[in-house]
Order: sequence, then structure tokens, then C-alpha cells
Amino acid sequence: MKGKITALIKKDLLDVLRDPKVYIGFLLPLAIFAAFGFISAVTAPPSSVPLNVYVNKNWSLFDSYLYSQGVTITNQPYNSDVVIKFYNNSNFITFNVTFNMKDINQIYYAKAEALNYILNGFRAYYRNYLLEKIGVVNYKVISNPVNYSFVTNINNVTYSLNPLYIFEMTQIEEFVAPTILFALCIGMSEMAATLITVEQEEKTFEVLLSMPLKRYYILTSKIISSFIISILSSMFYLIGLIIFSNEYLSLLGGVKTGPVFSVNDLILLVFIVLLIISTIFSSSLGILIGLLSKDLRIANVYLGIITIPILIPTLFFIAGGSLSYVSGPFKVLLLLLPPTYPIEVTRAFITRYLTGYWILGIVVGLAETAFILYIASLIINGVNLKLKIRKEVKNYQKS
Amino acid sequence: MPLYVKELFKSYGSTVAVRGISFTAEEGKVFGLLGPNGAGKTTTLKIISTVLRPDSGSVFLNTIDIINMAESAREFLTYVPEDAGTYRNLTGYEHLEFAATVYARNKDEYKAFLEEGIRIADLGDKIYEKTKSYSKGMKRRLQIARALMVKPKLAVLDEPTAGIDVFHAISIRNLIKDFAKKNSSIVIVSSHNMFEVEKLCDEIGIINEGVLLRVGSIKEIKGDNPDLEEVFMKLAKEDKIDKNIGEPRK
Repeated sequence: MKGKITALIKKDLLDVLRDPKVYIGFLLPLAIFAAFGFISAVTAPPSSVPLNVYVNKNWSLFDSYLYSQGVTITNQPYNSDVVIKFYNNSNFITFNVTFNMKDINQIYYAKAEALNYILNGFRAYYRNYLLEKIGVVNYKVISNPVNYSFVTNINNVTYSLNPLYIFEMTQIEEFVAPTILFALCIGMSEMAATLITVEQEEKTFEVLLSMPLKRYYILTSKIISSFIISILSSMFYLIGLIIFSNEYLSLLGGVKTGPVFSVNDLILLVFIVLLIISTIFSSSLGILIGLLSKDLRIANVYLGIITIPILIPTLFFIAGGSLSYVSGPFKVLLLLLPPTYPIEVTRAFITRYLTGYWILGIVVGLAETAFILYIASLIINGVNLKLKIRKEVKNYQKS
Repeated sequence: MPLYVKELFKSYGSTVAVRGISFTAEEGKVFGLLGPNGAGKTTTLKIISTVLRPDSGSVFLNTIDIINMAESAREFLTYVPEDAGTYRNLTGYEHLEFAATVYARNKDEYKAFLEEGIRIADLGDKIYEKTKSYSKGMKRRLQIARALMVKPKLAVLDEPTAGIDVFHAISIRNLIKDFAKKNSSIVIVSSHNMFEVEKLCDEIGIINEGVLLRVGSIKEIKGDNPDLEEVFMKLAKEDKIDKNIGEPRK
């Protein structure tokens, strides 16, 4: 059995990977992500949102500037978005932004952006003030009138990092997994459909069906072959994303990303299990499409249709969605799509809180994959589906 | 180990492709299904080679029920579809390796199959090149080699020389005839080329619109007619008259 499946997989891999055109598809994401990273970095917009700031020492000049910028100064640290602490040297200020990782969202990003904007503005304002009102001529003070540094509190642990960078990192954490999953799912279904359709076109599939090969050998080998090729393709996506994130962060200030987020073992395990299930689901869909298509052109039409359901959860989650934000038919749709679940779990990489959806994800993914493979095996065995359905309906009506 | 085909029926939706085909093919002989395009030859061959399931009827290779024990039957048969392609980026040698892996029960058999495949294909050093560089004739030779190298009890070859030049066609015909005799195997071929069937087959069945009109040796079928073409035209005409007067065919 092992020898036959290995021979089937080897045949598929050699046939696909010896085609130079395949590598264009592999290398394209590298170029796209590099360009995307550059464009994202240079076009990142400044944000202005209302800020509640707690200032630990009174400095009327700074307070009046904050007031002129529409910033509310609070009297209590826990009511504030940002805590600004003055140290002995009045030129040295630490900005202490505190938040819980599970609450991190676009608003925090905007607030951190707003803070940056205000501080840069205050620098210019203070320099002018020093020059005009006091007449200070010290070059160092004039060139850099306010020295400030950031610390960020995450779940009561203080990191010497700008909160903006933390946000960028969380964005990338949330962005990487869905994108890789998307690449895998689409790649798997396309590759599986292509592997079958090309064999149908060349009539080599008929030869396979006449050989002493169990039907599940053929199905399994197609799933494994498409998985290996899609993993290769996804690795190029991953490299592209690393280039993207490095460019993005370096252009935004060159932060060195440390081990700020540790992935809980259970979360990682659940993610991997759900990822495997959803990719096998995509591959099975691809196989079914391949079997139902007479040629590659028709397969591509069907693939275009099934790409949409795979795309829905990916786009929804990349846009910052979560299952807890939605309800009604859209939630039902998301719950019926196996790719939803691994992406939902990626949120737990940041929040460190695993919702119970993953159990449903395993059940839904396995059930739908088994159903699709059952239909595929009926087709491979030459069963007339229309007759089979009619017969089943009659049996059901009788019972 | 004869092949018994009995009362095969197969429809695709409302189109009936095969209507009650029955014949017996003996070992060591080449049996040809002769008929025009769309006559039901390919459907019949697909059923015999376990690729398709018939709506009704039976196919037995000696005592093996090919329809209901397809998995066991596949150990003894090989199939070459009409216009079958190859895996473009695999070499001819890799094609043979794959088939040898699937059919061989041990290493010695694997080696023997591979050597036989290389001998039958007779492609020289080209066997180590990717098949995308092969001509149609070379691809067909490779397919035939793949099918015959494992010495099957039943080889099903759909239009084995279609679209191939005379030189290659003669060589493939000789290969098939020699194989059937040497290995006491049954070879079923299909063709719409009357001349080829006459040269290649020991027995033939004339098929038209899914109905097997006549079965027998070339001599029996030809009778007093100068060639098979004449016979076919007469039989097809009779068949049409039968259908017009509504008599059920047996």
C-alpha cells in the first residue's frame, strides 16, 4: 500500500514541480508582498482621536498645549488612555500606554498615532517658546527641547516599546495566519482540481482507474500531493510576509521585535489541527471539482465559485472581524465554512483566550470533508449520482 | 482463461450507448470490436477494463466477476484508452517505473517488468527524456509497452494505432499479435479501420449504434464479400431496416 501511494505521489510531484511555470506562481508573492510592505509603510495615515491623558506633575506649558490640541487631561490614571510621567529632569518624559492585549484594536492604534502627533507638535511649540520667551541659546536644548521615550504596559508587564509598534506586530500576527491559510486553502483546492482535471484531459485518469489501485489510494495521493505543493507555495507567501513586515517596521522606525507574544501550546495545537482539517477540506473540494470537470477551463469556472466561500472568512478576519461580532445568517455561513475556525483561533495568539468554537470547527470540518470525499469516491467508482439520489429519496419516503 | 461478456447495457442520461452486447474472447487471440465513431466500442472497453460500471450485464474473466470484483480483476488486466496522453514532465522510463511499482508483487518481478517495458517501447535513449518531447507514435508505443510489460491476462487497447503513421502502426500491430500468442493472453482492441482489424484480429465483433451486429472469425464474417467494409455496410443497412419495422433485436 505504502509503495503504491508513494509512487502515485512521486508521479504527481515530479510532473508538477518539473514545470518551470509553477515557480512563477511561487515567486510572485515575494514581489507582491515586498511592494505591499513598502506602500503600506509610506502611506500609513496619521490619526486624530480624542485622548484622555493623565499627567503626573503639573507643567502649565505642557498642559496648555494639550488643551489647545483638544486633549482632555484627567485627574485619575485609570480614566486615562495615556499616562505621562515627568522625571527629575523636566526634559525627560516617559509615556506609559497601558492596555490589555485582548482589547487591542484600531482605536489603540489611532490613539498611539495621535500621541505621536501631539508630542511632535509640542516639540516645535516648546522650541519656539524657548527661543521667543526665554532666549535660550543652548544648541542641544533648542535642537531637541523635549526628550521622550515610550514604555508600554501589556497585561501588567512593562516593555520599552512604542505602543504603535506593538500594534503593528499584532496586526502582522493577525495578518500572517489568515493569509497563509488563505494561500494554503486556495492553493490546495486549485492544485487538487488541476491534478485530477489534467489527468482526465490526458485520459491518464482512466488508466489509473483500471490499475490495481484502491480508490482511496488515488484520493489520498491527490490530497497529499496537493498539500505538499501548496505548502511549498505557502512558504513563499511566508517569506514574502516576512519581507513585508520587516520593511513595514523598519520604515516605521526599525523596531526590533522581541518575544512579546508567546504562543500557548494548546492554542498552537488547536490551530494546527484546524488548519490541517480546513486544508484537507479545500483539497477534497478541489478533487470533487476535478472529477466533475471535463477540462481545466470548466474546473477553473467551478474553482472561481468555490474560492468565494473560502475567501469570505479570510477577508472577514483579516479585516479584524471575529465570530463574536456577528450574528444571524452571516454567522451561520461562517460557522459552516471550515476555514473560519483556524483563523478565529489565530486571535487567541494575541488574546491568549481560546473560545469554544474550535470544538465545533473540528466537527464541522471533519463532517464536511468526509461528505465531500464520499461523493468523490462514488464518482470515481462510476456510480450515477442522479440515480443514487433518486433511490435514496425513494427509500427515505418509504421509511 | 476466456473472457465472457454478457448482455451489457449502458446509458448516459437519455442516450443508450450500449444495448445488450454479448461475446466471448479466447485466450491467445486478439478480439477486435469494429464499428464507426460513436458505435459504443469505447464504452464497452471501459466497462471491460473496470473504468465504467454498466447499467446491467456481466463480464467474467474466467471465473472472476469483473463488474462486482473489480479490485481483484484489475490485477489481471491493463487498459490503454484511445488518444491516451502521458505525464508530460515524466520520462518514458519513469512511466514504466510507475506501472511496474503498481503491478509488481516483488523486486524481481519489478525488474523483469521494467526490462520488458523498455524492450517493448524500443525508444532507445529517448526513454530517459521527458514525454513532452515525444511524437504521437512514441507516446503510443510507451502506452502499449506499459500495458503489455506486466503480462496481463487481459489487455484492452482502444484504437491502438489511431493517428499513427504506417511504419509505427505495423510495428504496434506486430507487437500486439506476438504478445497474445506468446503469453496466452486475451487482447481486446477496438478500431474503425477495417483494414487494420483484418490484419490484427483473430476474431471480430461488428458494432453499430450500441448493438453487436455479428461476431466471428474474419473468414466467417467476410463470407463471400470482398472485404469487411462491404460486410459492415450490409449489416448496418439490415439493422436499420429491423429498427424501422420495430422488431426487437436479440
